[in-house]
Amino acid sequence: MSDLDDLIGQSVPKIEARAKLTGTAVYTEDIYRPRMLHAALLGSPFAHARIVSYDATAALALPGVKAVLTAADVPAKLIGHTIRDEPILARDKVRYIGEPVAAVAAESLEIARQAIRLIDIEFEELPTVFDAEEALADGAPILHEDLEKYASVVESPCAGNMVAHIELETGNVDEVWNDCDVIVEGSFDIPAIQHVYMETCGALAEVDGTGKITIWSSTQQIFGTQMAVALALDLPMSKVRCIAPAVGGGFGAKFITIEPITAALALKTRRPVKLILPRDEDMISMRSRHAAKIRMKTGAMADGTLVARSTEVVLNGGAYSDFSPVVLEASMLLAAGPYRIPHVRNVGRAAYTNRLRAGAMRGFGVMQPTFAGESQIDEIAAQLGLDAIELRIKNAKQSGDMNMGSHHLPVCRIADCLKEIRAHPAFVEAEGDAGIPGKRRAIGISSIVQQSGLFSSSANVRLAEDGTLTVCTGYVDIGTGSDTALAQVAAATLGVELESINIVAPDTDGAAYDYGTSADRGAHGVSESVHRAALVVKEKITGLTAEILECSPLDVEVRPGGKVGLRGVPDVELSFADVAQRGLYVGGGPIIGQHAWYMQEQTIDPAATRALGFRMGGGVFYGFAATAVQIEVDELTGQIEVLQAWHAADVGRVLNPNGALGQIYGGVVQGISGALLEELVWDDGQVVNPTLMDYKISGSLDAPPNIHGILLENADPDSPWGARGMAEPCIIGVAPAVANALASATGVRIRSLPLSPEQVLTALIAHETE
Amino acid sequence: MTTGHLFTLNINGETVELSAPAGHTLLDVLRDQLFLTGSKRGCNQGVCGACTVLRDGVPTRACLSLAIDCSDFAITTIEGLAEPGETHPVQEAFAEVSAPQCGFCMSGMVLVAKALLDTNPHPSRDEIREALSGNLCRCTGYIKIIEAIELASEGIA
Repeated sequence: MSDLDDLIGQSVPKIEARAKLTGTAVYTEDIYRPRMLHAALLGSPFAHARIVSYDATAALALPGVKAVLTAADVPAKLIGHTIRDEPILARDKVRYIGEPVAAVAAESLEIARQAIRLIDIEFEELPTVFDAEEALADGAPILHEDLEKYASVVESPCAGNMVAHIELETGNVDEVWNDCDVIVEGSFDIPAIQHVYMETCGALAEVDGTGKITIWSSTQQIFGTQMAVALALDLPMSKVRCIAPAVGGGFGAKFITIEPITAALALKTRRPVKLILPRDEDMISMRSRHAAKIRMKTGAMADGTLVARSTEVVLNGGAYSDFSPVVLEASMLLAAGPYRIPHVRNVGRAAYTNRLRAGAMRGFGVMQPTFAGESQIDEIAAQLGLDAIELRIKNAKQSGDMNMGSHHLPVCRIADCLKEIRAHPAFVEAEGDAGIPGKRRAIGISSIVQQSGLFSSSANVRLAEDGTLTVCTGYVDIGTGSDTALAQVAAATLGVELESINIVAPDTDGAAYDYGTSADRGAHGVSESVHRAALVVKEKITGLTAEILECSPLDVEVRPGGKVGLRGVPDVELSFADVAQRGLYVGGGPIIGQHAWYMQEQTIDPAATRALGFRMGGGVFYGFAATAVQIEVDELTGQIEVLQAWHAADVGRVLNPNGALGQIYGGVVQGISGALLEELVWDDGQVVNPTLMDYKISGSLDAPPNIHGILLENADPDSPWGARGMAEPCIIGVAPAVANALASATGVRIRSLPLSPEQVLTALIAHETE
Repeated sequence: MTTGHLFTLNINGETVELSAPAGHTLLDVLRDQLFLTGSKRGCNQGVCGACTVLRDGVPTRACLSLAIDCSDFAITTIEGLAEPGETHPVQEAFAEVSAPQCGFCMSGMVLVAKALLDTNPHPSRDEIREALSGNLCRCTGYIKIIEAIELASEGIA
């Protein structure tokens, strides 16, 4: 490498690509251990019921059954990301259909599943509540009688079925409505959808002779899993080791799944136990994205200047808190979108209901209000007769502006994102295409703001005897390409070939520390740690070289390709291997660099924004993007087809263009899928479409053949590489862009998702008869 | 253990003698008996395509095929597409454009691509989309997979 930066911004092939393409990458289910048992779960048949008694006699008597566990067999501990409200197996009562009540480990999967059917549990049904607003009303059945006694990290006032209640207000919303020339108001309905990672949740647990449990699982965070298992089973964390093998997607759902149950079965049987959820069980018992009901009101002047926005969000959190309080914080912080709006009030509540718990999902709490907000921007543009893109650019936040609470926005190129899309040749060509009668075409647009960065990360970088480097963080590459990007950062920092970097698989026994794969943390936060740790290694190499050459460290230069030498004297040169061996065997010690940091959160400035129940302060970095879609609506069937899409992302600096574009393509198509196809359908408490046959996601024919990814580079001053997260914004703006395109094409404004043929056709017919 | 039936399968050019219950699928046998774990279980009902293998060159759902019914066919799994440690040109093309993200769907995608290019060496973009329509991917939006197949196609004389 002649230039240390040559590796940054290069589309080097992913380092694990060949393993994934030859079937040799090892996922959790691919691991087999000697004497391994297979596990199955019994899910609750009731949405809300008291557990009266268990009888596992028949199940235990079945030949081949090695253990049956219920809440009676595990410590009475509760776990949870924000409020500790969740037992690993339902205790005393069940709160949703599918909630794990009992677990079996047996010699074969067939036997385990047969035994599940032999477990006899007596339930006493309780009144149920499925709708979030009904759950918050007086007299609703209470899910968690002990809510106020639970350990909690949230400040939000919780009571009854209220998991979180947050309010943020800037300016004086109530006083300015009369000043507005135009006001749009509406209610928006966003259903629960599922992440549909291709690999279902699974774990394998094994106990060694010292009583230490090793757990391999499909997870986005090894340390959080270690803590949850230790807490649930009342063990010190020193007795729990968590490893992430290859992970088949996560999208936010794989933060503690069935690892504690699997570990409990392994402890009970003292044999390796594998538990892999069948797709239907995964869909009814793991997590969904929050269903949301949003009431929003936005006011503007006749020239399009935005004046005020008021947003009320009610999230359906399902039976357990999980990430609900934090998801709601994200909704509240970003409901006003990437615009300069002086008067903003956001009020949010999240409710417990007798449904599947809702958790983190790509777009984390921002997708829902963005659907409402970006729909209303188009409604205002239509009412004022202004161009929808111009209106957005006119009101866009700029670099140096603040978000709510005086959160600093050092770089904000939302206007440039919109302009880039507008100038794209395919966009210009598509703009005039209105389709033909019966097959209307139009373009829709949206702008997006999302936060990234969260909690702590760290890295250890060690120089090996042969001059190669071992990089260890604990960050899990769930398909984002982070292993490759981190290898690029380490290689570029030290001026070595990519092949010299060994990215260590996440293992709590050896990894540095990382919170987990979430909030677009990899590109900024974890790469920062790897870079800083590699710089320490570089400094130590320089120092030891100076000792060897008997010169000042200032006279030592690190040369490309893993070499060091005397500045200005090309002939005097050592290899990294020489220096490493000198340190190990002669003096100076191993060359190891470490970096650890907490991604500084921004806090709410009370002088700027009045806040209630807001704790997290939000992530560190704001990311901006714009999405556009061209759609064709079949007016006979109501079917929408997305013909092509654009996504312009304010990414700072690209580490790996192919990796970045892959995130955009995937996020946009996941967004299209959510906009047009996806909804978890409930019959009261029962999910009635928990299979990929009945819950359709976008296939290759549903996805547009062309997605135009536009990467805007403009270094973030807070990051060594200028890189910012970009994998979440690309899902957020798709649904409003499609709804806006539909309104442009047909005059029909739909405020609930998905924009299914049935819903669109009904609206078209209603519009026709108006 | 459940009573097994004795049968043979021709997998990746080798004849294997097996014993499995009649109800076991080809996917069960590949994964749990032969440890050919490249074929994935994504839905176990024939929707996602992660378990795709080639049966006499034709993409087939291993999760919907009873193992004992497969004796008369030559089965190719992802592990048999190239010699161990080697890669097939289709796999090379997928790697070149960084098509894999989480990778769970990749075995099926690669085998479908191979079968397509065997019968139609220079498919149009729409023919590729059609060929992939039985295989779900949640990470890629299919774009890079399509690009990879186009790239592989360019390498075919």
